[in-house]
Amino acid sequence: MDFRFQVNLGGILDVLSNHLYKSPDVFLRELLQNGVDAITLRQKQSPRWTGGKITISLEPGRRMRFQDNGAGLDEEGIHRFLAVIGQSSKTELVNGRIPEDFIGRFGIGLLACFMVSDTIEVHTRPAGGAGHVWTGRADGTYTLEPLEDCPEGTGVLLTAKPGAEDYFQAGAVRELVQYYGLALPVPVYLSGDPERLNAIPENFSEVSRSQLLAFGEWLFGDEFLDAIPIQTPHVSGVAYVLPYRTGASVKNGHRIYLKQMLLTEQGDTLLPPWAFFLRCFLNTQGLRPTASREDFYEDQELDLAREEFAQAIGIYLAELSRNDPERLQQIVNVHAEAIKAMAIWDEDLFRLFIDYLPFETSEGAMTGGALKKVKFGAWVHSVPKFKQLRPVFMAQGKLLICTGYASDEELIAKLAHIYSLPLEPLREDQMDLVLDMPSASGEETAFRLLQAADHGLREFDCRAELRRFLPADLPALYVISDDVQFLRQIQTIQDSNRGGIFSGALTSLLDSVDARPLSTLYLNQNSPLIRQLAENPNQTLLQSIVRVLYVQALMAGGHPLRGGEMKVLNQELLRLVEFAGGAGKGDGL
Amino acid sequence: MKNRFNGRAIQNVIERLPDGASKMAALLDAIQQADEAGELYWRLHFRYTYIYQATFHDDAPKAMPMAAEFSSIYDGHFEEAQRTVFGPQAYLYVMEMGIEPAVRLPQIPLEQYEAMLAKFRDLTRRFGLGEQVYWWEMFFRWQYADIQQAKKCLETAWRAPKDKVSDCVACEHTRAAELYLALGDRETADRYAKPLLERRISPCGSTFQQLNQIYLDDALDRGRLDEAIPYAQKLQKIGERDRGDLSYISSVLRCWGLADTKQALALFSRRLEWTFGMWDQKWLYDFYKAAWVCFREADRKQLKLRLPEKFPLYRADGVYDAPELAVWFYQQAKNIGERFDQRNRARYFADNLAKAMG
Repeated sequence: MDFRFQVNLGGILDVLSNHLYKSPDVFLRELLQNGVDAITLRQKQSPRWTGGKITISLEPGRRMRFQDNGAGLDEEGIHRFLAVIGQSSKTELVNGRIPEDFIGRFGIGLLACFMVSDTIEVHTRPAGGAGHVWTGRADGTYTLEPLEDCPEGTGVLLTAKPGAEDYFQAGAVRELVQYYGLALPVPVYLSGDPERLNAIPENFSEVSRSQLLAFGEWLFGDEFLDAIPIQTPHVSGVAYVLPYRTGASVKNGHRIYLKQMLLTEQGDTLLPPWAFFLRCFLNTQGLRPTASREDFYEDQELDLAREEFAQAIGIYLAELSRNDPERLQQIVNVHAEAIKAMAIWDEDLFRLFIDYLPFETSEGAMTGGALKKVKFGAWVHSVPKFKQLRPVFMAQGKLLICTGYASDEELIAKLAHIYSLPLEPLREDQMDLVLDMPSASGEETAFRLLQAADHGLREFDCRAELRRFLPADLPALYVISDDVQFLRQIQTIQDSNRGGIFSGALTSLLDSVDARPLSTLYLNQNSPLIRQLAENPNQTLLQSIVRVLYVQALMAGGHPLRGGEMKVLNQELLRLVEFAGGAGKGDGL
Repeated sequence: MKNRFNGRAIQNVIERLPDGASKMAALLDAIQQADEAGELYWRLHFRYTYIYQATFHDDAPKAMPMAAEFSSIYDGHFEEAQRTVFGPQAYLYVMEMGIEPAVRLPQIPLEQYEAMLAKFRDLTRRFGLGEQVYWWEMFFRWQYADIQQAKKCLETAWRAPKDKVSDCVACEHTRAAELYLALGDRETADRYAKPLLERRISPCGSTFQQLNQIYLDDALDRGRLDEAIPYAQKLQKIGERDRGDLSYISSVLRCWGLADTKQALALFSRRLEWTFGMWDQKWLYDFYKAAWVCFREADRKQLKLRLPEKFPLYRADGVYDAPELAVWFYQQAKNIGERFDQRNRARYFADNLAKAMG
């Protein structure tokens, strides 16, 4: 047996009109859209007719009449398109496709007017046909009556409901028309005001740079660094280069239109992730809107539009590097982070920008161009590690590059690869780069020290090695691989939190490691302190001092201390004090 | 000392760092400073951020010990922690991110994994939140063990009430699509994917990566290279951001291994480094399996590759024998797969590897 759903029409209208859209503002967008579509249809029916326009009349704070002179609806059309949710005159297929020159698609736009008015009154008359007045109410009912005195086209009459009066003021209407309909090809007027509300250039690529910048300043209120005209099959408009540094998480409040009607301020869908240094005014063609008309449908056309946009920006900046390198440098100076992200994305852009881009190194900021000339360099991907090792590299005149900032590691690796440069990532097992082997005699002398150190450090999963390095006043350097660091972290939490929810699993993780990797404490043979210790025969004293050096090196390297390590530092310092006072003699010191 | 600590300033610096390893290294430093300053909010905040970074941008198992620290601190300062923004919601998120990696670690016995899930269930009851998340966790527990059980958990999860700790809806739909593809029900899978493509459901940062991956894997498993290539092209563009994308890269690598040796070798050489020190055994399995396909299908025997010295088969002259690499990677994948199947008392990975036999 078949049953039908019972639909609460009033409830559905409430959901569609009050919950589909993010803001009541959109009622004007929907009216603009319907008006433009009606005018487009009339142009199709009468190709020589060019007089399309929209006029908005206001009784401030109370009523609004939104009038277009496009193709009006006849009685059948009213029943079909105004009274059936989801039906739109624009979705009728032409040769099996939805006509591309219509903006709307879902047949629910007019309902947005219920957000500001309890009734929607539509006066409409097609060319050569009779006029009608359709009155729809939010409870889902409507009436339809003949209307004698009705101009050709469609007028929508709204009455402000309590709380919506502001939308019926001239200032608000002007602002909303310019916000949603600035790019519309149809002129929009406020009744009694001859000035068109939505006048902008038709083709931005033919407009001078200064005019584009002036337009950008008027539209967005910023004095932009540059204006990049965009003219591609899917996207046209201007991408403005922000005059200040910004981050990827900052939303730039773009104006992105679909067929001249504002769709969204969010660039996430259309623009590439590196475009955060741009603020865009873009009109798109051939893309599909989502049901709420606040974003784009994810499909092949959107992919193409994204690529076209990215290529247009790349081509412009490439031309800039040839014709106006100073301006490009200025852009890079402000937006290095974004340009770096672009350079990762595209190899041509990488080659174009890499010479300009700055990187933090042990010798200060260096550009990619300068790095191409170095004889050798190592890079480290963590900012704290870079800070720890920088003095060692500086003292030895060796170059260390910090790739801990956004995009840097990818770019430096790419730089080394593409130009076959002697730049390598620094790993914990490759410290020989800055740590020289000790002299044979020195190693022999330090044998007892190393033995005591290994013994004293065993409980910390650490071994000692003797090396020679600068600066000489640094007695020890603690180096730990990511693996060891992770194991240390597990051990630390196990020490302090036996019986917790993760305890068994963490024990299993530790047990699964066949040979526990060790961290390394490098003792500096160049250090007077280490040389002095190497001569000392007192094993117990040496163990105490090495354990103090170990904890001190941990702290200097910014490594978190495990529970027992701070205790060890205190204990050993106390023992050393006792030793200095002569009290340690009986304790083997 | 306490007065000099400025968590907000540290946070601002950390936000500028790239997601993944760099941010996590800085967070460890920040955690130490917050611990020394005794600032409860920042101790929890930096740990929470670290767990999030490990889960979504690096190596998910690294979230586990940090989640243990978080819970230890939280429980030790329960009243005070509740007054910060770290209410039960954040606590359950952290537990979820700490427990979930167990599915990817065959070294954790099933009994321990299930004990953690049971404790998580207790927590959801204690706080009156997170029932749905619990069922999603159960879905993961069965995903690589018994797909019918996983389906039951998914159905229970859909029925469970949504609340403040419920998962990202887009991810739920992607998971469902993945499950139905695995069950061979393409129509239902498409039905779950469609609202994401139409953006009727807000996508998260990984939605389109995941969608492309599951359809790519499905096409490859069915031997439909023609269907797979467009997904691989798209996925490569959006799914190579940080180590957290290793799984996506593996699917792309497998596709290029079959379709384009040159692209495959370039991708392999570039991303092999991401596997070093990786604890996530599922992702290692994915990469090793893809590398096996890549070298098995290579169009020549001798390959000139620039690989990191840390690679166990590293050769200074850069000349590698493709069959030797293929055997090595196959063995790695097989070993991991066997450990998973043994732990899960299943043969998911044996079957999965067989699908890549070609």
